[in-house]
Formats: sequence, C-alpha cells, structure tokens
Amino acid sequence: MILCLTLIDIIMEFIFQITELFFGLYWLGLLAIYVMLLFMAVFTVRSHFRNKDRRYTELILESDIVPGISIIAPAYNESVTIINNVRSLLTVYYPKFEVVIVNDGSKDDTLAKLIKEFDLVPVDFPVSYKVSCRPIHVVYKSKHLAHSRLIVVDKVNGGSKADAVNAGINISQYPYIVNTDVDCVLSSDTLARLIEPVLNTHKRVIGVGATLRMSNSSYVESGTLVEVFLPKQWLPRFQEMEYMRSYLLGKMSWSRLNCVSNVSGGLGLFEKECLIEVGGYNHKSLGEDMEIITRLCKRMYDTKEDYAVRYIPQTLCWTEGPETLKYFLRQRVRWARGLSQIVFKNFEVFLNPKYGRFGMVVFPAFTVFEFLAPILELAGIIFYVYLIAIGRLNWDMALLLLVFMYFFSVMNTCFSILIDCYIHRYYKRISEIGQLFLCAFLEPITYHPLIVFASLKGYTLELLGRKNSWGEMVRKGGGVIAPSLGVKNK
Amino acid sequence: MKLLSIFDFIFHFFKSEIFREILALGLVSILVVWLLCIGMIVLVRYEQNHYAKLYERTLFIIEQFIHDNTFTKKNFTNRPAEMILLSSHYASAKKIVRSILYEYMSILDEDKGRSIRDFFRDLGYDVEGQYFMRYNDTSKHALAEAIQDFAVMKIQVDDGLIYKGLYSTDAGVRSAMRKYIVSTIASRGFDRVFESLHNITRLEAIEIYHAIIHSDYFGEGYDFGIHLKRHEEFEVLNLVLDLIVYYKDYNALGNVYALLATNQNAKITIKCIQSIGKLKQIEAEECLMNMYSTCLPKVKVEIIKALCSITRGNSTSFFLLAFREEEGYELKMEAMATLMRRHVVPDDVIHHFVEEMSDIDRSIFRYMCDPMSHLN
Repeated sequence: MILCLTLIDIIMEFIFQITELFFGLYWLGLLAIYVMLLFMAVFTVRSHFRNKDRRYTELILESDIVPGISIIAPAYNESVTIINNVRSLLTVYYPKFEVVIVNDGSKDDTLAKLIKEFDLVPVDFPVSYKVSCRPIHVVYKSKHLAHSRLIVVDKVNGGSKADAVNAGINISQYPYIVNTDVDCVLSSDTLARLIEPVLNTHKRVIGVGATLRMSNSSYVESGTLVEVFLPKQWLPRFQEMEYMRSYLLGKMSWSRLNCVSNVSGGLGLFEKECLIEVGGYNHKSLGEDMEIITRLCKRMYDTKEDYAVRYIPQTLCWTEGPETLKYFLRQRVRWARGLSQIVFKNFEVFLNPKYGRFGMVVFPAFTVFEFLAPILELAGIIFYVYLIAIGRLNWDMALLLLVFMYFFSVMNTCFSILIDCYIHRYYKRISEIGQLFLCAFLEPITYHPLIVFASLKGYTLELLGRKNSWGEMVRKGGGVIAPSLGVKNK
Repeated sequence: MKLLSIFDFIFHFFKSEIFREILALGLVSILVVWLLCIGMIVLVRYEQNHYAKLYERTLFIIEQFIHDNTFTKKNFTNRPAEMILLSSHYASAKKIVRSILYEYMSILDEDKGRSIRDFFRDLGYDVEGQYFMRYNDTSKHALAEAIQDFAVMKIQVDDGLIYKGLYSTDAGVRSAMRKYIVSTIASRGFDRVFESLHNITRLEAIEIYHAIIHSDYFGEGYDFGIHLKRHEEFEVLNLVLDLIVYYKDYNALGNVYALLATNQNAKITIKCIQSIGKLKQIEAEECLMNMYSTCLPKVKVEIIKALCSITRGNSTSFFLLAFREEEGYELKMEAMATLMRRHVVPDDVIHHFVEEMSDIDRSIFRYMCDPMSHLN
C-alpha cells in the first residue's frame, strides 16, 4: 500500500515537473518570438524608408504597362453605406482597374440603391465558372462612361464571403484581384502600393497585404477619408491598438522572413491565376482569408515553385470595427472557429519538411503560438490555482513572472505605437497617443481576457460541430461624415 | 538520456536564483525600453512638426526665388536658399531644398530648368555628389542620391564611376545610374544600360522604360531589336518589346519574329504576339495564323487579340472557325469580339450562326452585341 502511494506520488511529481517545464519552455519560445519580431520591425521600417525615397508609387501610377487589377467587394445587406462605399472604391487611382461589387442575395434594398445611383442596366454577361460559386442571376453595368469601371453582380446568397468573392473572380477580367469588404474605405493609392511588391520581387508573389485600421470616429467625406481620429468607443480603440501591433510588429516582420500566414480578408491582393489553380476560396471555411493562403502555399510547394507572400506597412484600408460586445464576440468566435478548421484540416503540413519554410516554421508557429495560446493560457491559470490550492506556489517568482509579462506586453504595444508615429503620423493630438498608451496598460486585464474567452468559445463550438452563421453587423456609416458637410451621424 | 539531462538542466534553471535575477534584469530593461519609446515618440513628433514648419517656410522662400530668377528674370542671387541651408537644422533644410528643386526641375523645360539646375549646383550639391561618388562606399543611399543629383544637373562623370554604379550591389544605386545615363547621354548610353541588365525585377524594367521614354531620345537611330538576341531573361525582353512598341520600331520586327520562332517560354511568346498586335503589322497576319493550331490555349487567345488589332479582314473566316470550333470560353469570346468590332460578318452568316449556337455561345454573342459591354 505504502509502495503504491509512493509510486503515485512519484508519478504525480513527475507530471507536475513536466507541466512546469512545458509552461516554462512555451513561455521562453513566445518571448523569443516577440523579441525577434521587435528587432525585425526596426529593420523593416528602415528598409521601408529607403524604398520610399525611390518614388515607386508615382512611377506605377503614371505607367501604362502595369498589370490590371480587379477590386472585388462582396455586399450583403449594406444598404446604409453601399453608395458611399462604392464611390470610395471608384475613387481609387490606378491606370487599369475595375470594381466588381457582388450583391450576395441581399434582403434589403442594396441592389436597388446601386441601380438607381449608378444608372445600372443588366448586361447579358456570359459567365465562365472558373471557380465554384452559387449561381449568378444578373450582371449590371453603368450607362455612364464615368462609371464604366463598375460591374455589379447579383447572385444567390452563398452564406459566406468566400462564395461571393469566387463569383467576383469569375467575372473579373484582370490578372490580379484585390479582395476587400464593401464597407472598407480605401486610400486612393491602394492599388499602386499593393502591386509594388509584386513588381519588385524576383519570386512569384501570390499575395500582398497591407495594414488595416479602424475608421469608427474618423471623418469620411464622399467615401474618402478626410481626417483620422482615434475611435471614441473603447472596443474599437482596443481593436485599433491590436491591429497596429499585429500589423506593424507581427505581419511586417514575418513578411521580411517570407513567413506570412495570413493576408487579411479586409484587404489583400492575389494573383488570379493562382487562385483559380487552387479552386478559389473555400466557402465552407470560416477563416477563408487564412485558409486560402494555406492552400496557395501548399500548392506552391507541391509544384516546387518559389513564391512570396508580402505585407506592406502603409495603412491603405479603413474599416468599421464592431462597437458592441455582442458583435465583437461574434466576430472573434468566428475567427477562432476558422483558425481551428485550418489547423485540423491541414495538420499534415505541421513540421512536414516537404512544405519547406511553411511546414517547418509558419504553420507550427501559428498552431503553437496562436491556436494553442488561449488553451494554454486557460491551462496555465488552472495550474496556478492548483499550485495555490496545494500550497506549492512560489509567490515571489509567480509575481515576478506576472509583472514581467504584463510590462513586456505593454512595451510591445508601446513600441508599435512608436513605429506608427514614425511611419504614419495619423494622430495629430498628443491626447490620442496618450489614450493609446492607456489602452496598452489596460489591454492585458480587460481586452485580452475577452479575446481568450471568444477563442475558447469558438474552439468549443467547432469541436461540438455547431452550425455557424456569418451574421450581420449594424453599420453606422463607416466613420463620421466630415463637418464641412454640416452633418454628423454620430 | 542526454535529452533528459537537458530538461533537468532547464527545469533547475527555472527554479534557480540566476533565472530570478535574469527576470529582474529583463524587467528593468523593459522599463528602460518603455521609457525610450515615450522619449522617441516625443522626439519623432518634434522632428515631424519642425520639418513641416521648415518645409512651409522653405517652400515659400524657394518659390519666391524661382519666380524672381526664372520667370521674371530679376537679379540672380542664391542668398535666401543659402540662408536656409545655413540654418541650424542643416540636414533637414538640405533635404527640403533638394526635394522642392527636384519637383521644379522635373516639370520645367530646358532653359528655365537650366537656371534651376545651376542654382542647384551653386548650392553645393555637385561637390557633395562628387565626394560621395568617389570616396563613399558605405552609404549606398547617399551614393544613389548623389547620382540622382548629377542626373538632374546633367553633369558628366567619368566612365569608371559609371561602371561602378551600373554594377553596384545596391539596386538603388544601379537604378540611379541607369537613369543618369539615359538622361545625360541618351541613346549613346543605351547599350551600356542594356548590357548591365541582369536579374532585374519588373519594377526596375518599368523604371528604365519610363526613363527612356522621358529622355531626349525620340525614336530614331537606335536599334532596340538587337537586344532581343543578346538577352534571355523575360523581364529584359519584356522591356525591349515594350520600347519597340512605344517607338514603333518596325525595323526590329525581324528580331521579334526570330524570338517568336526560337523561344520555348510561353510568357515570352505571348509578349511577342502582343507586341506584334500593337504594332499592327499586316505582314504578321499570315505568320500568326500559321502558328495558331499548334499553340497552347492562352497563346491562342493572344493570337486572336493580335489578329484583331491588325484588322485587315483576311482573317474573318479564321475567326468564324475559331468561334465555332474552339472549346475555350475566352477564345470564343475574343473571336466573337473581333468579329463584332470589324462589322464584317454578313447578316445571314450571323443568323445561321445564332440558330446553331449552344447556350453559352448565344450568351457570348448577345453580350458582344450589347453596347453596354464596355469592352474597350
């Protein structure tokens, strides 16, 4: 009996030590990655400023020999904002482009508004279904030559953005496509900036992303961003800070190593031929943006082609972030479910040398440090509680670690704010930067637990096989209308 | 065993006093970095505000100066600009003066531009440029800037420096030197530029294309076609073909046909066909129709587009056949588009066609007949 109890004690002690070791190693790995990203960010900013001096954007904008680009923007029940948003997309400046708006079976008057505003008439467009999507009813074009770049596609609702983008791919005529959301406000030089890495890289560039930001309290006039303000509401403000850190520290640095795992669905440029080769977006996936990159990368390794996925630091896209907890959590739960789908569906890539850098670095990194992070965070808390319960917690060390991680997180965010101030100069007022700093201090104890909760909920729902609906977000109009118009909608 | 001992070491390391000290040190470093971030933000904002104010002030003075000396031909004096350059923030002021003068030099024509170029030189940019080109091997960025300055001032530099620039390891320096050659010695320097083109990106090719078409060369006397024989890289051939099309260099067509016949790369074949189409060379019609049957579908589409732009009309039956017999949707679409644009198909042929058409063919036909198709 005593021998048995001793054996159990030894086993328990062993498990205990292994758990401690595991958490310690995980923590070290995470820390190492963040420190590396911090250093990489400095080099990225440096090279960004070097290239800026060469005025490539102007060169592209005035050139007649650059490749054409189709902007694809799906719209579902976007009646409130659709006109301004389409105007915004049409104000983009580039030598050769078209705007394909895909009305994904909206139940409101989105299509009627478009027809009226842009004088659209149906054309007998012979659709070639190169990638699968729900049937296309009608293709509309404008009677006015001024809107000749606009194509509106009316299709049966496919229940996902992926299906609508696939319809856009089938209609588009240019070799590159830009996938965006119709509520996004794009900077006028978006296309020139996005195509630059494609033209300036020796490898085949299959995707390019750029920084996204919140437009919630900014001034928007006729679909163009006039002045940037920090969102007044706390949730979009936290999201703004999160995006800033994620894009300027994370994605930019990964891009330098050619290890980008995801090009945001809000704004991304892709080579159309490549998309068609992999069968377009997967309409069943809830994280279609990340899923398509995974499939594209796998395809490149299968065909043994050298490729690159790039990110640029410029903010080219302004989007309206969810302002209420309900919509915010719904969005994050969906993202978490999307992430878990990708991890489970492509697990053969994990540490598979056949997939080179993608299989050995990118996929393991986002599996271990993104997908597993919320689970391990919860496990860590439970382990802490267990240690307290059995009285084995080393309080000094635990507090030191906690304080260390808290300030490390704050420092990371502050560093991204510094990079933002250096590159973008959007926030003119000191008070706005002060508020961002405040967010950096509050985030680990307020916003971050929400993200963890949403991720865990998403994983659980996915595990239980619950059906997901994309849901609708109540639009308020993509920012505040400029005061020069004399109207404020917020 | 070895792995276990490593784990054991790590485990004990986490519990050791050293780890605690490292953590404390890390915490202090974090606080220092955090304070540095705040300091840098203050500094960056100060610099940005200062730059904006200086720019505003400098722009006013330089514009006034350019107006007085270039447009109204008053007395020439460099004093205001020199005063700016001698102000406390010398580097910022110099950068601003350079950027403003660049703008003016690029938009003003020969005589007026020359006086600004002289002014630019008088401000000492040539001396600085000479220094960077001869002695500075560390800052490639400064060297590229110096070459750009020389290009706008149209100052000659010796061959050794040109060679050094063209074969530099830095893309910025190479690009600046190519632009320098094109803008200062025009067609006499094209050979050297093309010789140096290896492993270039599409954007570099576009940069050279624009440098050449904006130079003093108007398309007489230089044979771009010769480079189709000398190079094999797609980007270089693409650039040469773009230039042949831009300058309507019909003499180079022989080399284009030769490249079309000998190369094995579909991208190059497509580019050659597109160029022939843009040059609208009637003699090419026969050659393109002959090669049609053996080509890949994406090459066939380009042949149809090229034939369409040549518009002699001999190939009408060829298009009707392509529309009827080809399976590819894009091919059918292009063939029908060509027929509709030419207005050469007799009504009875069309009616006969419509009756026989499949659903997809009929929808293509209807789309092409629709004036809203905005195809061109």
